[in-house]
Amino acid sequence: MLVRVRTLPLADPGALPLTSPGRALGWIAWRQRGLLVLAMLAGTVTMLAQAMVPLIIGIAIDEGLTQGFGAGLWRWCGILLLNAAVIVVAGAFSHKYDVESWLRCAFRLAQQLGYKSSRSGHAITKTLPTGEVVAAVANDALGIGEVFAMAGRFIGGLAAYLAVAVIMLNQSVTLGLVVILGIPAVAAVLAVLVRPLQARQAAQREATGRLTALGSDTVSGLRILRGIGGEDVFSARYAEQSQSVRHAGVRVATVQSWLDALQVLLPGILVTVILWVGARGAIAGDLSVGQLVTFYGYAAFLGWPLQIATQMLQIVTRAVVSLRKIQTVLRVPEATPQAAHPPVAPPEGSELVDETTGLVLRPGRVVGLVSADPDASAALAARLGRFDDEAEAATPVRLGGVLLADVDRAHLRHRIVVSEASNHLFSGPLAEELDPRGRAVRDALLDAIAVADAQDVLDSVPGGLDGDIAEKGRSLSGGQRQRVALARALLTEPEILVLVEPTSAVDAHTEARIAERVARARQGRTTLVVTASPLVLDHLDDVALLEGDRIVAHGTHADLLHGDGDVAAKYRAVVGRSMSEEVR
Amino acid sequence: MSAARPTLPIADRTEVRRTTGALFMKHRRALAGMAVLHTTSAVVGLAGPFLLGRLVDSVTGGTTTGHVDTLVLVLLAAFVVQAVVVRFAQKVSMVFGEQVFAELREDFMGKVTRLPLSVVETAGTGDLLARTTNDINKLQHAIRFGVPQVLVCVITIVLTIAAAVVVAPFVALGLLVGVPIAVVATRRYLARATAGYLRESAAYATLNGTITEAVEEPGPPTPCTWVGASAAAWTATSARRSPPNGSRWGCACGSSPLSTRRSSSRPSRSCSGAGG
Repeated sequence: MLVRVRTLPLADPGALPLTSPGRALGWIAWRQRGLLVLAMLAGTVTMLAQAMVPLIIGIAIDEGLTQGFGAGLWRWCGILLLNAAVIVVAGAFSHKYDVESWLRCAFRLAQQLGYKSSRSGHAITKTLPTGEVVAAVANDALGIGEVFAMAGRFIGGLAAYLAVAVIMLNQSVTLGLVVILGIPAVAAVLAVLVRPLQARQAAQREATGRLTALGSDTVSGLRILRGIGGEDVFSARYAEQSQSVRHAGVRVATVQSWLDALQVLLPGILVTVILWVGARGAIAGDLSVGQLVTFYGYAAFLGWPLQIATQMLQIVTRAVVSLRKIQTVLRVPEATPQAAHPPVAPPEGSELVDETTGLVLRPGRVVGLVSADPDASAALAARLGRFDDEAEAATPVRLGGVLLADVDRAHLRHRIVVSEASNHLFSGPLAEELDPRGRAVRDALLDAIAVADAQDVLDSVPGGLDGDIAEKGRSLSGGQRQRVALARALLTEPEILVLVEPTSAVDAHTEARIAERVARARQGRTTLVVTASPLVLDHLDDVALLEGDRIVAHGTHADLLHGDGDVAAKYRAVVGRSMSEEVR
Repeated sequence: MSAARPTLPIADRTEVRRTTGALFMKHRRALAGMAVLHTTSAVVGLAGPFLLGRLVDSVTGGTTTGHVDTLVLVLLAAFVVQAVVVRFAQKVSMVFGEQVFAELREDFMGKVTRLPLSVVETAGTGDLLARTTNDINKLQHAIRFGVPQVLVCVITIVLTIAAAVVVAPFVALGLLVGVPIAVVATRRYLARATAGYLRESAAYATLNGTITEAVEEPGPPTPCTWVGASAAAWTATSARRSPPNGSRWGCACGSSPLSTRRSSSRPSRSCSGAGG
């Protein structure tokens, strides 16, 4: 390694302009201007040194022809060697800067996409298929990076072209003009083919995208496919799509092969014309033999910048398409947008009120929520966490009188945490899983594990807290996943904690233990537990009964259980059903 | 971070050799056809330097414009022939690449659906996804551009040296000056490249898997550190590798945008350095 690679990820990836691909490209270039300038410098030095080779060889030949093995020949051979050293060193730097520019750009975009997909909530899956977002990171971000991987050499190629034009004009006006006009003419002809090529490549890319989506569906749904015996149907569908990708690829091949052929033919014609004019000039004595060789060398050399330019054109055209795709992902409106001027946050110890049902969470109380309809209570719990402003507009929730949608989002996420019934675990070390914000000390982690009765998880994950959990927590049992999620929720230590069915997947003994410990751990801090289990309800300060869309009763579990009247009977019915399930 | 994570097994050298051998045997006719086409294009491509030598000789020794015209016409004809051959060679290679590629991935998916569930699920979707996308793309790239390029390069080198030996054996020795450097550099590169590329593939698997996780299950608390972790794994390998599949869109000579460096300036497509 020549120089240390700058660290990634970037501390601040910034915010990509979403107005147009052109502005976005300009913005990226500006954000990594230092690196870009270095890449261009190194590329220019490399290409200029390359451009000197034919000139030096031509002079050396003339020296050799006129003076034989004299000092002149040796001198020019030495210069050639020196020039080669410059090419090697500058080339190595140029390559390094190219790779770095490429990675930097790709990561700047990948980081923004990652941030977006982890912040936008449900909105992103509502608008775009998962495959599209994954492709934006896996293909589009890397593809746009190629523009910057190429920029150094593109500028270098341009510089080399200009330098060669000047040198040739000095030696022969006719031949200089042939080169100066010929190269852009060839480039223009090649550029004509780029558009159909891009169109066909886009078609193949789209087909490939569908194929990838099909493949990832198959892979992630393999368990279900197995269950219903659908493997063959899926394999057949995959094969069919794979064949259409192939046909699209053949269509690309047709245009691409013509482009390849023209890249041989057109510069070839240029070389021929130059040799023809040059050789006639040499016979007439206007040109030395060395100059003839130089011109030949230049005509051949210029095919290279030409190729870089054609490639750059392709890369940029494709990057524009990719940028549009990334901008589409980044444009997805967030489910819980941040208000421009959030009002002053309600003070700590404020009441949380669900206006629709009349549920009031008083500060410091550990409360249970019981409902005959688990969906209704889960929906209530979800809106306490503010996950989707648009969907929740009709069912306002207020904290200390302020609408949740108006509160500063980051602030709110720290104060209110809702742990839903279907908990998603992420791959990575167990300690990170439990404490994604990285605030807790190890003892706190172990305490939370004890409260959630999840010691067995520590034993079953090799490496304990530092051991890795598989994607979606697949390496754990359902009950273990639930308890890990509970410990994770407890560790966020929020002012208001909402737990939805936190013990639905564990046995009665464990449930009783967890209920007692959770109630103790959250004592004096606002907590809502959505459950119908008497083992849990028994440990809570207070219980609310939800019927339809209203809270119809309040009281301790014992009061409600032994009370008289219609409401108490309903309570017994819900809790009793859960009790008889447990007995069974 | 992915070190402790179980992944799908990676084939060892023997198995790779066996599979490659089987593929070669299965497609030997098509490969032979491609070899003939690419050889022809490489041979015709050498006409340029050869005719230049003739021109220089005749101009130094004194000649007529008629002779020059003839030589130049021959050169023009050589370029036309080369262009036509390149057109067919590239077309045939790419069509062949698409065919083999389709076979490989269909076969692969057929096998995946029959893998034991536990294997697939412990490896994670990311690893499997990376193999169905990035890895197969790279393979396709190798078939489409790599094989023809190696072929053309080898033929060009052999013929150039042979021609030089015929013309001036002593001067031909000069062509070999760079060989020791190239051998050392290539050996160093090859010794390190495989490990680097494997790390790179693992980083891709992490990246793709993590983004899939983040998109599929949005909900608090969100992992705000995911990109950081993947990025760290990625950065570790970034120093010695070039873009993985940058060149699907490249032209004949450019494999990846970073590997189009050429050390010589002949008009025909020439070999890239080992750095790609």
